[in-house]
Amino acid sequence: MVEITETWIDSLAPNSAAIKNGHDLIKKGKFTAFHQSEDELVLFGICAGSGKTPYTPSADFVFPDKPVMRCSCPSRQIPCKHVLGLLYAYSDGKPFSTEVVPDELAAKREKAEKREEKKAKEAAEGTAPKTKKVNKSALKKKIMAQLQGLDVLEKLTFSLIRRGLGTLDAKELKIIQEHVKQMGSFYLNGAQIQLRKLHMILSAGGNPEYTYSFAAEQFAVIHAFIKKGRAHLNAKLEDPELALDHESTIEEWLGHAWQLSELKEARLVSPEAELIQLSFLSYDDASRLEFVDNGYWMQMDSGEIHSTVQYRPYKAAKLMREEDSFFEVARVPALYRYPGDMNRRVRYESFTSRPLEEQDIAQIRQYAAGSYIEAIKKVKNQLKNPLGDPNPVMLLHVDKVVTDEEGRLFIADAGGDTLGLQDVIGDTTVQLVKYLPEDSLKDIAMLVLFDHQPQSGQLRAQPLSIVNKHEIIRLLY
Amino acid sequence: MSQALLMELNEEIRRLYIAGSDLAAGDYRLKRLLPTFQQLGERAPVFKKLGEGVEALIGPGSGNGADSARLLQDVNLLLQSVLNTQGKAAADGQTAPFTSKSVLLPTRLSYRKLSAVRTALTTRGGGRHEVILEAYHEGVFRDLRLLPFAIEALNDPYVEIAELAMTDILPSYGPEIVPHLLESFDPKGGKLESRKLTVIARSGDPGVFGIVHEASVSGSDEVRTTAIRLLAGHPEYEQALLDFSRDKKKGIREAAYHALADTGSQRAAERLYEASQGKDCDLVNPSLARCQSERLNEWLIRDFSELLHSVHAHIDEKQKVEEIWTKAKRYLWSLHQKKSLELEALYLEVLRHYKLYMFKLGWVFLANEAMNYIRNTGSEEGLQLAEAAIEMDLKHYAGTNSYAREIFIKAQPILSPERLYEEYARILKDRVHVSALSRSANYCKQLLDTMEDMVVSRRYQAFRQVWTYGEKESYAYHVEMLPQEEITANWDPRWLDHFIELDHMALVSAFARPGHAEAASYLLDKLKNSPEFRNRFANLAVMGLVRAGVAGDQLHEALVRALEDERNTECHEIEPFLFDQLCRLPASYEERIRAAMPRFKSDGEQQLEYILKNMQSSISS
Repeated sequence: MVEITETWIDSLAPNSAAIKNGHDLIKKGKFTAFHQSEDELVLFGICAGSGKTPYTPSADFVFPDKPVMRCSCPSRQIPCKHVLGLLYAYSDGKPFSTEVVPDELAAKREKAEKREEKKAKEAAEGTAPKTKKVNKSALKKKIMAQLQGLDVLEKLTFSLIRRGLGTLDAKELKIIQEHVKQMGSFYLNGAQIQLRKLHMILSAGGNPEYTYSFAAEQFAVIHAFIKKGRAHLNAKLEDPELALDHESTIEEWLGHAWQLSELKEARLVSPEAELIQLSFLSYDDASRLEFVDNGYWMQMDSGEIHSTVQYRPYKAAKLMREEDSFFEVARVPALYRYPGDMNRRVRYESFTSRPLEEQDIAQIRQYAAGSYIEAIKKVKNQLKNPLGDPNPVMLLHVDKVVTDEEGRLFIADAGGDTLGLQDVIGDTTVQLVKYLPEDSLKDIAMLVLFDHQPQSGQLRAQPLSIVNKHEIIRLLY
Repeated sequence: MSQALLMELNEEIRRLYIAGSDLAAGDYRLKRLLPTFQQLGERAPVFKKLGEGVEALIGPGSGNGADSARLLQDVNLLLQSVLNTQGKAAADGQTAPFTSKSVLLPTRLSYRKLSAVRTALTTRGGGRHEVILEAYHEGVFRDLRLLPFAIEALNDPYVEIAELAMTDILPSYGPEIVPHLLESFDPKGGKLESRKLTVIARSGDPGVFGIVHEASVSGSDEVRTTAIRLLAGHPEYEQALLDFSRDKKKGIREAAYHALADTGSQRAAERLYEASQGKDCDLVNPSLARCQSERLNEWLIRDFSELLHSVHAHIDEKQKVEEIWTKAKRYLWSLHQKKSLELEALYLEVLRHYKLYMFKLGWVFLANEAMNYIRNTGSEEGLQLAEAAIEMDLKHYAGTNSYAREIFIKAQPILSPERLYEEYARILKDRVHVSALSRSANYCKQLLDTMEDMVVSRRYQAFRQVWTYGEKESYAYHVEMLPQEEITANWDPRWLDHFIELDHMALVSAFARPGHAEAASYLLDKLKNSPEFRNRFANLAVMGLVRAGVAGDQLHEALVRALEDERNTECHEIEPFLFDQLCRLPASYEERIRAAMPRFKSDGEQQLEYILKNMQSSISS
């Protein structure tokens, strides 16, 4: 059985309220029984709910890297507070008596085991799970619709640009919003997001100078999207296989959600990877109508900085697990990479963890980029692509922190090149540097998020985390 | 150079987005830029491409249809890509090594733990104080990332949050916080700055008082008054405080008096006394009350005594007497809650001339203050004087409205229980024989109300709901009565019979005592007739039953009967005393309680559930 620690249970919980509720169930004495199976692989209990029949939460560790949590309660959160309470009771050292697993649960377990066996058998025989047959004629239809949608989008932008933004009125804003809806029926989620963003820029108010600058930039992005999207879709129509493009991010822009099997097929999967989270942030992306949980991780065998992204649509946010900072080392049996440039999105189906050790810290520090000129070149190479991520993240070696006459902070590499620090995202971190002790400001590795500011013509970096000789100091989360 | 050019082009392109691309054809400002691009284009292909784009855009073909928009978009797209690679990263001028002022704090809390507190500190709206307070108690603020928000919280529009940051959260970081507060400290500012200064002064770093002193001289009025108060108790700034006490501004003088009062030194006392003699006499008075200097108090008592003495000479001059009384009130206030032998002598003197002060001059405040002071000293002579004074009051006020109210309250602690009973009991005796509208009935009601106020207190107070297992605190309606021993010792036992006769349940409950069978049966009847736990009577009756010594089976049976009564419905929460008694029921009542439970609601139901659960565990253990 895996070691059940309180932090591990915390990390399973969908949100902080569930953590509290789980603890409360124990405090209130709602549990009437704690049991475990003879082989100690299953924990189960009985917990009183609001109804007559109590709930029967259970946690099954037959597959240690993929524990299965079950409960008879109607909650859509998994694990629910009853299971969390059961696990907290176990980690608190409450006595669990050995009992025979109830029939109902045993039946479910048997089914799950059979499923797993079948999978293993298939894997052993080399017959990978059958990839879904693509219905080509349907796909063709979809591509045609997308092309048509791009035309509609182009027509709208051109008409807006010909008239000029100076005379834009509420009526036109409404037309943009109608187009946002239309894009959905053309299977163009990416276009929806970009158009919604344009709408937000134009209707935000505030300094009109900035509004127009942002709008001009956004128009460029939309234009690039239309051009690239159209070229890609036309090329796809030519291809008899109608294959996905696994090199660039264009599929995602067009609204494709990558399946793990598709990534596997494109050979975008690496076995046995260790990941260490360097920073985490969570924000509300109004143009997507989603909350975004964003983690930056280092792949320990290559030193690449990847990102994990979880979208929580507003409508489903309550039911989804809110991601959290992760302080241990995640060992991933199969790491799936998305197409892209720097900070590729990664995903994994299961993981085990081990504590972070001093040599991990040393290794992270080794991967820090030493020359800012090289690093900036790489960043700019990505920035010139209008469809690339405008905020790449890199781990840089910092020889020392310096300040100019106006008190602004810069980091300097061993060669004396400097890079200005500035807050880019809503959460401020630069001012925290002032509170750090000397050994966290000299000879360190710093994870920074880049941003190009067209108004001032400057490239700035926001510090996210600092790795000194002993620990990772998280300036964000 | 080339970046400036690109920025210029960007400016023009943006202008076309605002004005509309249909106006691009022949645009002379773009035309003017074109040669430079063509020239640079010979060396750099990007500029060549941009030049071509601009040329097409301003060409004659762009005027018709959607082309102008497309051409503008093309140029813009290319330009944005190029601009994105032009960002300057390095510092412009000289740089110097940065030295931090470190505050050693970990950064180990996770996003979920921090974000709730952060949201509370950065947003507006209800419920934030609780989140912040809880986070402070859990030690969440011992994380570097919350430090800037804690400083920012000093400026929170919700005063309680700002005060919490000032008095608890920020000082918990220790003296290391001082440099960071000083960094943004602006002595010319308002409330925020004076809060910062308070944190700085209380950080425990003695080196900061130079700054506090400076702020007390050169800050804004708000900051100065705070700074001056913070200088109290520091001998090296005593002279400064003395100087401030002669400042032109009233607020400054007031703050200085306050600080001098806290200092309490000889010079401070002299200055405060001096001020009390001049035009600042009203302004300085709160500080006089605050100051614990014995010397000052001696002076004040001496003057007070002389003042009271002087009234004898001017007894017929109305205006003069008025003047003396105004001064006397000031002394009363500044000496309130202080103790000394001289003061005792002074108040004894007042009681000796009680008739003069109380009735002739009508200085009720003075007379009452003297009475309270002497009562607490407990000297033989004092008590005799007080008793004599009360007897005078009783005569003087007989038949007035205050007789059954203020005078009763004043007399109760001084007169013996028997004497008090004999004086007042006839009001209750009279009541039985007269109509409800008569004057004596009114009198009787007043007296009963007064007594009830003295022995029974009712209020909502914080209460831990044990049935939620220590989780929830809420407010509950509490009824408390004077302890039984106190009533036995200080009240005549004969009162109880009158209360029963007059059917005053609250007082019967409070005065009930073991061995008084009539009271017990009266209360049992009451509980039987109004068993509803939702009403206040049931709780009162049970309190009385416990006082009457009804216990064991008799009490349990009465409680459970009331619980079972079919009128006992709609109870949402059982009052604390009653709940406590129910908790003591033996487990044998389990079934009967369970049967009654469906008639109870919300918290009431949970309370019964809690009782049942405890019964079960007591059986099993």
